This record gives sequence, structure tokens and C-alpha cells, in this order.
Amino acid sequence: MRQRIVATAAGLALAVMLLVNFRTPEDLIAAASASGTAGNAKTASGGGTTRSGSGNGSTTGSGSTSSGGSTGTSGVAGTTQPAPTTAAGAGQFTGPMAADPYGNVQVQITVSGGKVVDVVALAMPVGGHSGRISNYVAPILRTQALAVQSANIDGVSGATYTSLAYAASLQGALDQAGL
Amino acid sequence: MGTVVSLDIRAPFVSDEVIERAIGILHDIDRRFSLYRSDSELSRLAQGSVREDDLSTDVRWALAACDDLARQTGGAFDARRHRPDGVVDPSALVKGWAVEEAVRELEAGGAANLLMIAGGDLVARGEPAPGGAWRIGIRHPTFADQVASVLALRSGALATSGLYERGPHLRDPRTGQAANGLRSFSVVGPDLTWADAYATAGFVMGRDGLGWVDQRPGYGALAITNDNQVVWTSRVDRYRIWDPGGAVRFSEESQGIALS
Repeated sequence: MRQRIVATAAGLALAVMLLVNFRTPEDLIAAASASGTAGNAKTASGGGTTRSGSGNGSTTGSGSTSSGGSTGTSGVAGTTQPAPTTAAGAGQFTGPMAADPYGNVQVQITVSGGKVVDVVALAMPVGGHSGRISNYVAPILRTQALAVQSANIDGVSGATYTSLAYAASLQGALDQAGL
Repeated sequence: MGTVVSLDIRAPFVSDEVIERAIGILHDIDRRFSLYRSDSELSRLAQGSVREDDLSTDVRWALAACDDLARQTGGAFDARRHRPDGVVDPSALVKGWAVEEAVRELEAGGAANLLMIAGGDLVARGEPAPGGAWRIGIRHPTFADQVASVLALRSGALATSGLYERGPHLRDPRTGQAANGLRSFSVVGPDLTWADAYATAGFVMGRDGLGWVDQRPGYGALAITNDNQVVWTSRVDRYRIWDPGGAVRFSEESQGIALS
């Protein structure tokens, strides 16, 4: 599976930020064999690594040794032990700290079996109006990111609020994971 | 802040050039229509530096389509009156149209199985895998990390309006007050241009919106009420594959009756 954010533009109504998600036939087979576990938005944040059948030989672009498994360390709930990197494309990967007009955003993903099973915002703007938005938005962003990967749901309908900074940090984490 | 557009293409794949062209269409429409760009046609209209008659064909078409919807909805959808500042804002229709245009470009380039989602409104084509349908969760308006229902879609469009963030943000153009009859309103049907606009109109209409959408050929609606019940019209039956309970099928007989 290859994911990339193709284009970004500021603005609103139609500002475009594209998360292109290609799946090859091998990915589909891998997803099927690893399914049933699929990270649904259930697990509480904090990094409970719900790994199940480890990443059986699947995975395409797994080149990345879990480099930068944790670069930025802000107060993370639950310390996260980088999972045994025997299985390609498994472990936790932290995106870069990205700034937007409301504060800093940093995202960490948990990968198992070549799939993202959890997304946690390590940093989101706090305080004031933007803080209130953040409190509401963090779980939405998490659902959105997971939905793309979930074997059970291909997409989510319903308004989304997303900062470019969130996408940038998420992309950094995906890159590190080699997804 | 921006609207995220995600694209999921399953085999047969298309070249990067095709994808770049589709993205270019989105950027082009954004450039011409966005009220967040001071040099867009709509911004210049709002500033009074251009007359409506001098706008490009696409922009005049969008405004005419919105005017027609205002008549059809008795003013529940009105691009000229829904903003307190009086700015003409057809974005509820334009976003869906933009996605349809981008999808057309991808199809022309050879894509047959794809899902494009723009800020929670989406167009699906084909199948994610042979024999399967795209499974789309409708985000729960009250519990942000849950889905309230799941629909299985092959080719079609799905749009949702609701109280998802930043509190009530849809005004009823007829009263100027915030629309608050429902938590969310989703519309499924053949074209996102209309599904998106109907979702906005239906949300403003409240429960009456279900019956109204039911009268649009090919379109169905699913609403989540203020007490978190899921209510839908008969055309949604064939898409709906799961919801967590509290679901009520809408029918003409139940219209106006408190559903419990």
C-alpha cells in the first residue's frame, strides 16, 4: 500500500489536500489475512498495541527500518515501546511537529501487519477556542485516518475539520513506516 | 484549515498524470469559487468589483442551480440568504460538483473502481474488490469517534450535513436562526452535486426533509435525530447494512408522528 498526500492548498470551501491511497492486489490479500483485527476506533488512546496475527510476510514498501520510531517526545500517554521490528512495517512511528496558526500538531501512528491500527495526536493546540476545537477534533481525525486503513470501512461521511499541519505530521509518520 | 480530499483507487490503476489532472480540476474550481481567496470570482462578486452577468459560465450556472434549489426547497436552501453578511455563497453545491468533475476526469483516464471523499462527502465508483461494495460509515454526530450507520455503495454519491463541529453552523435562510431540528442529515443518490445540496436543505428542513428528499427521483435520506435515533427513507434500504440500534424506518405514515 502506498499513501501520499499529493497536494495542499490553503483556503477553505474547496481547499484541496489529497491523500491518495493506492492498493495493489497483494495489499488486498494482506488486508484480508490480517482483517478482523483491523483497528477500529475502539481502543482508548495511549498506544495499546492491538497486534494480532503479526504481519505475515505481506507488506510492500517496508524498506524503512523503524527509523525515528520516536523523534519528538511530548507528553505521551503511556510510553510506547517500539514493537519488535521483526515483522516488516510494524511498530510506532511519530510524525514531525508541524505548526499551524493555532498551535503545534504532532501525530503518532501504530502499525501492525503493514496496516495502521491506531493514530494518536501527541500534540494539538490547547486553550481558548482552538483548544475546544482540538478536544473535539482529535478523535474525529483519528477516526478518519483509521477508516482509510480499516478492513471494515472504506470511508466516512460527515463533516471533517482537518488542519494541514495534521496531514503533514501524519504523512511524516506514514513515510517513516514505509506505508 | 482546509477540506481534505482523499482518493482511494483500486485496480485498474491510472497514471500519475491522470491523477494530477483530477487534482488540477479541484484546484481550479477552488481558485475560481473559494470565498477564502480574495481574487476568486465569487469574492470579487461579494466585493462588488464584478457584476453577476460578467461571471464565467460555470459560476453563473452554479448560481442559477442554487436559485432553482431555493425555489424547490421553499427557501430552506438559499445561497443568497444563508449568510448573515449577505455574501452569495454556493459552496454547498459547488463542492459536490467539483468532486464529480474530478471523478469524471479519473474515469476518462481509465479508473473504474474508486472512492473520492471531500470533507466527508463522497463519490464512489465500481467496487473496492471484485464482488464487494464500498462500505461507508456515517460519522456519529454526537460521539465523534463512532459511526452511526454503515452504507454499502457501488456507484453513487453520499453527502452529510450536521452538527459535527464548531456548534451549529447552518442557518435557516428563512428565519436567520440556526437549524436545530436534527443532528445530522445524509443523502445518497446518483450525483454528489445534488446530494450535497439536498443534505444541506434537508438538515435545515428538519424531519420534513426526509419526505422532501424522498420526492427527488433516485435520492434517499438518512437522518440522526436530536435523541440520536437513526431514521431513513425507503430508498436507503438497499444501502444500509448496519446501525447500532435505535433505528427507525421513515415512511409517509410516520411523518409528523413522534418516532419512538
